[in-house]
Amino acid sequence: MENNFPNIVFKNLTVGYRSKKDQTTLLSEISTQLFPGEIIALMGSNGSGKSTLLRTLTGFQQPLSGEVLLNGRNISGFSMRDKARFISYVSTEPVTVGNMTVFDLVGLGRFLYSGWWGNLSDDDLEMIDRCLNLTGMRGFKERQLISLSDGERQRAMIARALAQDTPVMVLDEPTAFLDVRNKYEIIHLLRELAREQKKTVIFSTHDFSISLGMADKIWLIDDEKLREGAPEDLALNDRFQTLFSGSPIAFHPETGEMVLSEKPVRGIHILAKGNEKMWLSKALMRNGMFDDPQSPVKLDVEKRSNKPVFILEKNGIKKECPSIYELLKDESLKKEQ
Amino acid sequence: MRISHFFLLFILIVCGCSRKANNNLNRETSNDYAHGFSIAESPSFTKISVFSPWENAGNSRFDYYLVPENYKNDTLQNKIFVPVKRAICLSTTHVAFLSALGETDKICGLSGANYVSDPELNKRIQKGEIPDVGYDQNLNFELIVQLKPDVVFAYGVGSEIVGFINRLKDLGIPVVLNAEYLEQSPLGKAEWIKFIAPFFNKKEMGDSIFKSVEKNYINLKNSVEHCQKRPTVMTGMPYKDQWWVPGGKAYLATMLNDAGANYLWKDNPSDESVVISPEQMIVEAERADYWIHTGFVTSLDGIASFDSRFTKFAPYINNMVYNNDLRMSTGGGNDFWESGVVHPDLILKDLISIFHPEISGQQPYYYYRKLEK
Amino acid sequence: MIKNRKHILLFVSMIVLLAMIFFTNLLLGSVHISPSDILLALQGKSTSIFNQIVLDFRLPKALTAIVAGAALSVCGLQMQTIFRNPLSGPDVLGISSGASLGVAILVLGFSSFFSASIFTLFGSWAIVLVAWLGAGGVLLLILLVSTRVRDIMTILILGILFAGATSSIVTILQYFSSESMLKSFVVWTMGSLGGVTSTQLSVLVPSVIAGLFITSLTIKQLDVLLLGEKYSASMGVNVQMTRVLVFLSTSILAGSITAFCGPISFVGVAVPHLARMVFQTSSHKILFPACILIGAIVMLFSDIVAQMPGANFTLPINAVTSILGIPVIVWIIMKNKKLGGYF
Repeated sequence: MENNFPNIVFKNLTVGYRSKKDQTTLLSEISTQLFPGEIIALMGSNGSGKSTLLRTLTGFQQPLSGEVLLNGRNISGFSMRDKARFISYVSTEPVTVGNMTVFDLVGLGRFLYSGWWGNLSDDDLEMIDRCLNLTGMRGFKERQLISLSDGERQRAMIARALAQDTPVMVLDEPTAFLDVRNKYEIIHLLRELAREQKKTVIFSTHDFSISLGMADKIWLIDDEKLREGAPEDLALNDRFQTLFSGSPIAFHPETGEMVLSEKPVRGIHILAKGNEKMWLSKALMRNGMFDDPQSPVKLDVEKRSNKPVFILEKNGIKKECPSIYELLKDESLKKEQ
Repeated sequence: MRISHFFLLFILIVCGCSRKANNNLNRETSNDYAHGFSIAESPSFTKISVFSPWENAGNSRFDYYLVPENYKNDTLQNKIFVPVKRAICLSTTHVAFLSALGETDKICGLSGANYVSDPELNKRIQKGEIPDVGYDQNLNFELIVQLKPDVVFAYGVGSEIVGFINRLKDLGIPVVLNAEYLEQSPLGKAEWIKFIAPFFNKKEMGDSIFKSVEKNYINLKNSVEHCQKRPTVMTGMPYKDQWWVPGGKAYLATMLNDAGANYLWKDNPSDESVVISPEQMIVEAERADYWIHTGFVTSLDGIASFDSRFTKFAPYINNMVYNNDLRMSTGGGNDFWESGVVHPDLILKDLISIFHPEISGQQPYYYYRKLEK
Repeated sequence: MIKNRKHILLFVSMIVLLAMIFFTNLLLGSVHISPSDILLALQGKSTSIFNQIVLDFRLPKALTAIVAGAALSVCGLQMQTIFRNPLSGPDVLGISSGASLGVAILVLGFSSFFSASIFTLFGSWAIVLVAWLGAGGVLLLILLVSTRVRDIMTILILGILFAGATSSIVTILQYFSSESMLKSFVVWTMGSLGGVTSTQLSVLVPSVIAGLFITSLTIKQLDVLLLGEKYSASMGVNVQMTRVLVFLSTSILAGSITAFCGPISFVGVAVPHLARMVFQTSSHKILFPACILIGAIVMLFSDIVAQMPGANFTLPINAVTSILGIPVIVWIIMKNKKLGGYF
């Protein structure tokens, strides 16, 4: 039985905030839908309205106009408890409380379902175990929160949000304080959860490669508008420019990478092929040079006793460098002549 | 070495000089009961000295020179021209002394005006003729100066009073410290009438008043001296659960002893108040015959509502509770602490009436009152 | 679960300790009474003096200690959780200061004549009434503020400011009062457990039970509040309602104890930490009854110390709780090094 009813619908939603004198609009008249089984990355420059949008989406802030529909019902008609039954939330910083185990923390997620004084029924206990398993925290049940690493603690927070058993999960920059490996693993975990548990997972992030690599859909805030689509849709339409406007860095739709926007000046002919060619041209790009087959200056790579040696040929003189780093530092590469 | 020699010499000379000054005095009267002051008369002035006028004052001493109006010599410090025509009194005991001497019309300012019991003075106060100059920390200096007193009668609780004295001195107003409250014997306190009388040129009157008080007091005391049966007396009301009672050498304890009573804590060596725990109180209250001084509780029902446990005390059960609040002014002042200081004989008379009705007969009380329902 | 068994064991030992210290408290006082006489007196079968001392004084005092210790500790627990601040106590909202202000106005402010007539009318209930009024006044202010202010930290600061303001007013009143009134007030601020009669207990105990009952309604919410108000709201907790209930119970508990016993400090701050340390948990399901038991034990013990058995004098209870409470907090800090880490 396919359930393709959208969990969240925005209808002509205008998001912003009102102060005594005036109002500030961050997003103007956006309409969109989110379905179960999807993971959505929300991106936008600082101050563009990511947090405000999330707050409006979770019902903690009034929209300036328009509607947010949860499961077809306007969010303003939801009580505190109803909202909590529908949306769970994880914030950037993992919370630390002394004398609390992972089990205690995840158990708190059962607030809406547990009994007087927080007594957990068998169903509750089963749910907690399941959530621990899903987040890879099974062995951590009796561990104290303070003894966990940041990544483990974030997982525990996610397990708690899972235990709240909501169709929608909202996470505000959940990977901001995590190391590289954890960043990817957490988002990967969320993706699996979205798919397998048929949830809608929305997370805000600044991390480019993560959203490009993992999200089903990207919401990009661009000048009071919401651009949405698969990451590749936005890339092809060069939507990401908005994140870099006015900066010397630009998004390169061709390669999907960040490059300096100033055009490279000098040309160097790269003789090498394959991986080496790709990385050498990146290094040149980074230093204002490009791959030019017509350039008299040539770059080649040779393998000697399993280590690459980089050879620069200029004006008939061959120079050898043991690494790209040394190569780039070389004077003759830099000088015109 | 040389310098210290000179210093020593200097000190000896100064001491010698002051001794010479003392020799100029002709007569020094000593008191029979009061330790806190002395009077020395010379042809041109009367020197009144106050010793140790507050607790832990050590050796401080204040000398006052009472001179007639036409006195011209400028060498004397602390001169006060007598008779005083305008006086400010900072304590109601001062008022009591002046009342006994018939000099209340000289009072131009008071501290705590609504606590005054003297009816004449009260009338003037109601009419607004005598302003309240504030008390303790909040003396209204400007008002005091405006009133142009010849003297301010004050009392000190600690050394900070010196600052106050100097301030007024700078303004040309003499301050005289009374320390009758430090006397522990009832007659010692009363004898201070002799201290204040010379200020109004009423030395003889002061002497005679005190003589009569002394005579009455001693007669009363003698009348119960040989009583075999001394009723046991407990005093006071507690703050929360602490009972503060006079020590064995305090003013009230002495009075009770002189009244032929057996004060429960007469063996306590302190001359101030001491704390008794409620448990000790229960033990003692069991054998007490009388309970006096219930503070602001004015009836037996009042005691019951203050703390129902006190209804188990023997004096309560036997209906032998007395309070010294028969003479209360409308402003809340108790004459016991005002005229009672001048007339300890009247207090003693009341107490003897209470404890030994078989000796005194049915006398009406002056200060005391039996608590009713 | 192993945790449960350990907790049950701890609770049983606490109850036994409470019973022991309760009896010791009855045993020691300025008048020497043997244990067997105590037992007789409890049944009213000893000498009339001993009966009086034990039944009229020691027993109500011990019961007051139990009730005061329990109430103040639970207050402290709630305050520490809702403000996520390990140094919070019952006074943090300014409620005891409000009670003090009420008493100060009665004892110091009005002319002694007026005060005297109030005393004759109401007896010792006069002080209780004005203390309750003062505490209630502050509660009203706090509730008003709480509905307008989102951030709980702002409420904490405002509470501290209220406490400061009432203190200043009390100082002014003290400045203008006479010696005897001043002494009367100062003695009140030293706290006293022995001044509470059985009749007063019959009002104090139900008040404390009412306050504790209201707290028991918020146990689940308090657990979630450990994660902060933002998370709690997202998890379905009605944060406003919880605040109101917590403030209400705090003012009933702290207000009543201050009204009957005067301000007693440090117990409310130290005991929750002791409870956390002993039971090794942050769960209010455990800490709530733990604070009640440990609070009672600590208060009974402080009272025993205050009685200075053997000496001729007694100490004010407030001094004892401070002297005992401060080293406890210091010791806990040293042991755990990160007190803030509890939140």
